[in-house]
Amino acid sequence: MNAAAREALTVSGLTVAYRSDAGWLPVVEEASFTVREGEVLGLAGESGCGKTTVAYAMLGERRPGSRVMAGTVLLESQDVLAMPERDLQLLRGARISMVPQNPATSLTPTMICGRQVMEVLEYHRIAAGTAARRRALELLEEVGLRDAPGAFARYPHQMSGGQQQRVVIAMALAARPRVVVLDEPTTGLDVTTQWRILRLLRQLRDRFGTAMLYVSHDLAALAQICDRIAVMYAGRIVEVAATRVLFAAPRHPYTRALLAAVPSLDRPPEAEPALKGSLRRDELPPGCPFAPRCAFALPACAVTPQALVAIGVGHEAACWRWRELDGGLRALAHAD
Amino acid sequence: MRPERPLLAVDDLVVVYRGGPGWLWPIRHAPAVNGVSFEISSGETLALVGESGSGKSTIARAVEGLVRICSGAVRLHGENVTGPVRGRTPDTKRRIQLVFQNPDGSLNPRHSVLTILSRPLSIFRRLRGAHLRQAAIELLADVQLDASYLARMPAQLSGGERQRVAIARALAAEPELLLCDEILSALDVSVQASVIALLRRLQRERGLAYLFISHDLSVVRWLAHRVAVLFRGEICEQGRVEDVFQPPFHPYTEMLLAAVPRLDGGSMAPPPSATTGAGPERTRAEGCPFAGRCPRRIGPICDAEGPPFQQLRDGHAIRCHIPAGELASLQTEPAMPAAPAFAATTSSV
Ligand SMILES: Nc1ncnc2c1ncn2[C@@H]1O[C@H](COP(=O)(O)OP(=O)(O)OP(=O)(O)O)[C@@H](O)[C@H]1O
Ligand SMILES: Nc1ncnc2c1ncn2[C@@H]1O[C@H](COP(=O)(O)OP(=O)(O)OP(=O)(O)O)[C@@H](O)[C@H]1O
Ligand code: SF4
Ligand code: SF4
Ligand SMILES: [Mg+2]
Ligand SMILES: [Mg+2]
Repeated sequence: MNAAAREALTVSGLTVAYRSDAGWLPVVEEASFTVREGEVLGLAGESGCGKTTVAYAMLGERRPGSRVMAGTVLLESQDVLAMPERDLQLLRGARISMVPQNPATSLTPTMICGRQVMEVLEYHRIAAGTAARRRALELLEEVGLRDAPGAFARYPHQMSGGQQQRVVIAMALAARPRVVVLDEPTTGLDVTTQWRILRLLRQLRDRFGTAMLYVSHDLAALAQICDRIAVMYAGRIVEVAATRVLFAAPRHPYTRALLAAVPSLDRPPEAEPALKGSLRRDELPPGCPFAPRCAFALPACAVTPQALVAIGVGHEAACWRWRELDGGLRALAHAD
Repeated sequence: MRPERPLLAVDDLVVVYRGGPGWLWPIRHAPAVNGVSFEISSGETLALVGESGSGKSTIARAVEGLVRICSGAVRLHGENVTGPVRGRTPDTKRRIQLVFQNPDGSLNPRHSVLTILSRPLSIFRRLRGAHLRQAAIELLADVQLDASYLARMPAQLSGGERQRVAIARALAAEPELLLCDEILSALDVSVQASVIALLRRLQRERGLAYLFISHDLSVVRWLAHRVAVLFRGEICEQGRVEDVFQPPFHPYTEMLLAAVPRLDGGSMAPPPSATTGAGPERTRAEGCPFAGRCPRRIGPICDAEGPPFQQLRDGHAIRCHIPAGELASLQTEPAMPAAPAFAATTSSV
């Protein structure tokens, strides 16, 4: 990764809340990160931790009942959170695009898939008519749809789940945006299809310097595509590191537990799960959000707020015990 | 060894989707599912694996009675229930529950989580009022969601939370057979682990059976009892999970397993063999469905003749022209994926 590359996406202090009976409930707090040109940043974390909420904010899109309480999202140098909707519409798809988590609902049910890809090309004046048709077919082939002409002419409901997902990926990539936000783009895809999609994304990154925010709970997929990974817990980023570093030397206890819990083909799952309990947003302590489940928690953790601190080159973690717990993963993984 | 009358028997199932899109040219669909047979007993988990578009969801929908079956039969406790779901008795409907691959399409966006869970609880279990609410809270707790979720609408849930509500709804009916179509794919490892623990507990306590569709072979390996490997609508290998996951493999199974990404202390490079021989679609009906992409293809016989099912031990069957013994010796050495750095032992149960 070229450290001198320009920043494509700069997020600072992003805080998003949802309306609840008890007022505005923050689900993403103080998230800050950057994605440079030609870089893929992974965003990992538990179900409900706020990944999709972050993803939507990148496009200045507001989910119903949500509100951005603070923060900026700079696309190159423009704050998308401060832009009027009209300008955002021209931006979306052309300079930044998104593959949403639920592909089926982002396709128009009454239009054949190929037409939907063509429309993206035509709307952003990339190509029209037969050129658009040809390019759409190419895109469908690039995402690994073996029978591209067949896929072109089908309605979304005539496609399998994974096929719909790939049509949506083709649409998001159609206008060659500078930044692509992908929300669980390969979940539910078999390993070979997933491998093809990841290869396609890597090619885009290398050839066109596309910046990507790749949201997934699937650490195996993240490891294959990301240059760096940010780990989220309960709406906060708790660790950021280069992919290699994160897997070899994770520092935050949550990251460690997450890695230890990944199922493997070669060994049966531990009887005692590496990560106990589940994320309960109604029971978050004022201090470290992970304290109720952390194997290393001290009484003071629950009342001491934790912020990301630099613990190495390009490596940040939000746990005041990171130094003491050095090498802890090895102890965890090899406890037999 | 297997009971006389399995809970579910699917016999020579064929599903062809009809009706082109009515656009310039009509599409002739090849069968989405072609001659598929399998059985599931009470308390058993059969996993269904195969690439995107291979027909997994179609099989689940056919068992549930949601697609028109061209030929073949679906039997529940020996009773033919092949027809559409409309023609089934309420009790049959209760016994088979499907959790859809995409929960967004199956949760009514105008209903709260409580209303969504209430339907099966009142129709199939005749619960009302406080009892119903209590049962709904317990179902949510089973999928790691607290009571505050009862009042939420589907749009107010994260992707994984929606998937968990769909699981809870299916379990509300207290089925005998749960058709699980990629139900873990939106869940992170820790929620996944708790849902797996839940499925195991229900299997132990109530003998619940699962048709478990998943792309995640690392989960299938430790959850399923038996596995059927699907390629372009046809089963190419079937057997006990410990037999299917070790040589001899069907060449397609071999390819799938080799492509499983491994957390290898940082670098994780899946073998590109996953994409070798990416040939064209098979156009003719005869021959081996895998012939166009098979790295172990032996010659014209693969294109000309449909391979036979070779019956091995304990119901393990491989559909290939290469004799199983030969496959085993070809596959034991370099084709086996290397063990990851921190895996303790390679267990074969
Ligand atoms: N409209 C809403 N109103 C209230 N709460 C909401 C709303 N939308 C989402 N939430 C809550 O915000 C939290 C974060 O949701 P988000 O969709 O960002 O999670 P996620 O990390 O993408 O999870 P998953 O992996 O399950 O998709 C969840 O706990 C969810 O229940
Ligand atoms: N309604 C339909 N009309 C025509 N073809 C269809 C229809 N539904 C599915 N198909 C086709 O049938 C094949 C099997 O689809 P199915 O949904 O069963 O695949 P799958 O194995 O579940 O794939 P995935 O893993 O992507 O969900 C696919 O090639 C799909 O395009
Ligand atoms: S601050 Fe304390 S509770 Fe939080 S992760 Fe570190 S050790 Fe665990
Ligand atoms: S029959 Fe031939 S093409 Fe088919 S799997 Fe066996 S070797 Fe490969
Ligand atoms: Mg999400
Ligand atoms: Mg499917």
